[in-house]
Amino acid sequence: MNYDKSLIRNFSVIAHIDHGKSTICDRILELTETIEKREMKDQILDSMDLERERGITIKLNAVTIKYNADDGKTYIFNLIDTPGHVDFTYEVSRSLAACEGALLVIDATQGIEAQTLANLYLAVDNDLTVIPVINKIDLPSARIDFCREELSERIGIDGDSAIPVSAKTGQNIKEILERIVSDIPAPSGDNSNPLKALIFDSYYDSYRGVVILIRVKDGKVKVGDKILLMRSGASFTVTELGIRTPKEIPTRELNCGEVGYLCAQIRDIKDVDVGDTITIFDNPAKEPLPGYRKIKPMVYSGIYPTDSRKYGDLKDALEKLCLSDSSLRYEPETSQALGFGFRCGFLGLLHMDVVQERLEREYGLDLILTSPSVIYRVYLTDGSVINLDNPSKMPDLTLVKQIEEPYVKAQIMTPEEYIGPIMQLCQDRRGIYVDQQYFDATRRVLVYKIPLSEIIYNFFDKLKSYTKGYASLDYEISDYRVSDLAKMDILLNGDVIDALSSIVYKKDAYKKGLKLVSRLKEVIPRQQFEVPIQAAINGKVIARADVKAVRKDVLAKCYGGDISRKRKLLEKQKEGKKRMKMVGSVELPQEAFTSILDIGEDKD
Amino acid sequence: MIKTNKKKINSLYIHIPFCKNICPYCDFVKFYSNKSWENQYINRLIEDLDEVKKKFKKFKTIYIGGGTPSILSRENLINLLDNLKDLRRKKCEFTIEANPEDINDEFLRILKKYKVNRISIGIQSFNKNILKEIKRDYSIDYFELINKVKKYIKNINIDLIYGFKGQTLEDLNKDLDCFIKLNVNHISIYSLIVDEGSIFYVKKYSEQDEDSSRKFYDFILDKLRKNGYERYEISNFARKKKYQSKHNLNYWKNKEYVGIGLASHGYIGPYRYNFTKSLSNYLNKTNLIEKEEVNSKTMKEYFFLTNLRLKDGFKLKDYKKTFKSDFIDDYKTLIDELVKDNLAKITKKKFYFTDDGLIILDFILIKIFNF
Repeated sequence: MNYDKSLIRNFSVIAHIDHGKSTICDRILELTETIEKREMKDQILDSMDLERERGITIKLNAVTIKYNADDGKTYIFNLIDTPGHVDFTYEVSRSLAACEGALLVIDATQGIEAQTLANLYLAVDNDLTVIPVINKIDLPSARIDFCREELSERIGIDGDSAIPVSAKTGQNIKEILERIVSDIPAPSGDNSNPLKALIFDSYYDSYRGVVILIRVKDGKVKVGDKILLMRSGASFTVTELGIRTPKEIPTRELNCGEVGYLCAQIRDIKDVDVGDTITIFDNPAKEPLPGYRKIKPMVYSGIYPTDSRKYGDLKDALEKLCLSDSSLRYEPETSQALGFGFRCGFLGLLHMDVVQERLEREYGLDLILTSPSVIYRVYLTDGSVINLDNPSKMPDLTLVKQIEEPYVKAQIMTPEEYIGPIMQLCQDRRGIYVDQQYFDATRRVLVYKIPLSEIIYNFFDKLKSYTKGYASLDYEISDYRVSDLAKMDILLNGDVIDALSSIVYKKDAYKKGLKLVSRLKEVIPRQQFEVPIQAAINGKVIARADVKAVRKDVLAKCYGGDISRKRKLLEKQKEGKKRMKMVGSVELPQEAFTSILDIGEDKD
Repeated sequence: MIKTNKKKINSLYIHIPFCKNICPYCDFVKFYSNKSWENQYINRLIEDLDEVKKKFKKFKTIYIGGGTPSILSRENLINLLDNLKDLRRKKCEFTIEANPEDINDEFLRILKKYKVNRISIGIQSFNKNILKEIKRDYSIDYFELINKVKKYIKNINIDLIYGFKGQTLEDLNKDLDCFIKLNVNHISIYSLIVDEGSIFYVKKYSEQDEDSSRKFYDFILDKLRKNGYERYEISNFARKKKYQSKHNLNYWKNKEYVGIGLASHGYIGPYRYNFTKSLSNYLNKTNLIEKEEVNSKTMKEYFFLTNLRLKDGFKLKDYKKTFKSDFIDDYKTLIDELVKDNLAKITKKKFYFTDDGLIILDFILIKIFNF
């Protein structure tokens, strides 16, 4: 097909989790016959099994679509799918930077959520044209007029312009396509200018090396061009270009406004920074594209193989995983209790979960993850400052002047009736009240500053359960504040287990210590001998519980028919045991290491 | 007669899946008794027994279990026993399971006539409240009943269960006293297990907690020992070695056995197999059998999980014969650890668990399997 910039539309889809983004994308792919019906799987852009199973989008994904519009012309759409969870806001900003427009999907039964709002602001920041779409109108509880009003009054987008659709039945999907044609501007820039192509994602392919996804913002790029990555300074020769439909179709060149992939025999993924600008080595652009803020992990945790001999396998797996997950950070660390492993940085707890599951599933590893921690700033008496991402590395108290912890600015959107319980929850989590706004007639937005550590320990689940799922949360790191914190150690059989140490707020320490030891008692299976579990601060024991010894563990009846069944049962238990970690003489299940996450659960 | 190359296996098990009442703790495959099914079933069993006769030599032990074999009609019982005549060796331990309410002179006479020489009676408890709870007849005078049985069959086993909700140590003591008074040679006493497939499971009946269960077990062990019963397997006690169940010992020594009947299991090397659990499939011979081939790894697991249930454990030479290697060489550090913790003992001849080891057998088995 001939290149005509005026026929290109680049857009992404933003939505709150569960509002039907992936289903809308599916319908668009179907309607444009990008994917034939027989090849169609649900949520086609969610390519990982994990994404399909959980119904969430984790990785962004781009696809080129051909659309024969009512005006008789054939348009090229580049659809860039985005993740909807707060952990992955960063990836959203990457895809938005590559587009001129965005579909804003709202669930007709739920209205606008905090996440939608946050992503919408990102879109507006990027000067994107926003087309509001009200989805799930087939449901009896759909409130289309209410959503229109909300759009006009709360966000200032013309609510009447919103397209009511049902991704489930396919109703009005075609109108979305027409509106993309009429509302979203064609890309600017010109083929004759020096090349500026934005790298918005990359992954590793063992045959071709690093595959880069780019949006050409200005100029054009051809196979054989010598390119320069403007920030990293690395240069390569382009060996392959193409578009994804989502099958890869090689092309000779990518022109201004187009979205596609680029290969250049790049062997090391570290040479490619997502957000960097590609230009032509001999005719470089004057300055790179603005790019976007560098990713910073918020949550850290140690990852260890259950079987210490698998350290090498874990290392390989992490290396490979990083090729397709550029937001994951890791470096080696050692633990007395767990041996050799890695300290890993994640965008949030969901991200941590996803990484763990991918490592276990795609690489067949059994892993122990230690309690997630935030980065504390520890000021020492000698004037130096440590950024502490591992509680067990806390220096001796006599050397510590003060400790600061990261706070987030949390925006909680909730129906009015839950304001009370939410404020209580925020206070329990050491939140500082900032503001309260009316969002509409029935909903408010509460703004709090809350320590990040309190957010990662179960805050979201609690919030959901307090509000029957109605409240939504968005947060961003705001600042560091001095807190009265201490390291709490856990002792098993009298030995400190470094992997179980955590940083706690001193005033909560007794309560937390008690809860933690009783939680550990629950999750640690009975052992051959009784094992005391103690929580201690500064060497002083503040709580204790005992794991009992096994007293009776034998099948009462074992006759002809029971024998094979018994063996299979033991086989299963044996596999379960293999997943436990021997720490000293005690066998610990994975749950033991993350029990600090669960202790917020109990009712006080 | 031509001597064929029939296979020699010690034991034969025959399953009778019918019951009058369904006991709430039972997870076996069972059906409410029904005349027409029963007739068809026995005829079908006899077909299989004909096959067994062609393939195997006569058996050292035969066991008719259930379900409730004692509810078979007179005709069916006789028909079945008659067909087993040619499968008994001269000195055959021949056991049948019976429910107390089915036992009468006529039943016993038939057994005697067909050389059934061991009877296992499911009494479960002597406590009226417990019997009510498990839907059993509680008006029987057991003392009288057992005396009647003794006139025909000397070798008697009583089944008891402990660990019911609300049962006290005192209740258990009374049950044991009642048993001791009966003056029989063998007892199987089990802690109540709420298995999937039982009525208790559906009703979410909770099992006794681990600590009380251990207390009860220790009490039983102590009391029965003081009264002359020796524990030779986790849940089985006999007054003398000769009263130990030879049929069950065959299972626990990991030896082969032939199983016949609905849902029955068998072990004919290298396969462990089981018959279908569906009555219609069994009668129509469709999807009749599932089997598992025992390989060298699972063989080891079977060897340990069966033999180590026995007070005498296993002979080191049997291990060597089976696995062509030395047990001590194979498990040196683990054996040392178990012996040091007083969970097991090793002599020149055998390896076996102590009282403390037996009671946590499964816990230790996992260690052995993972070694």
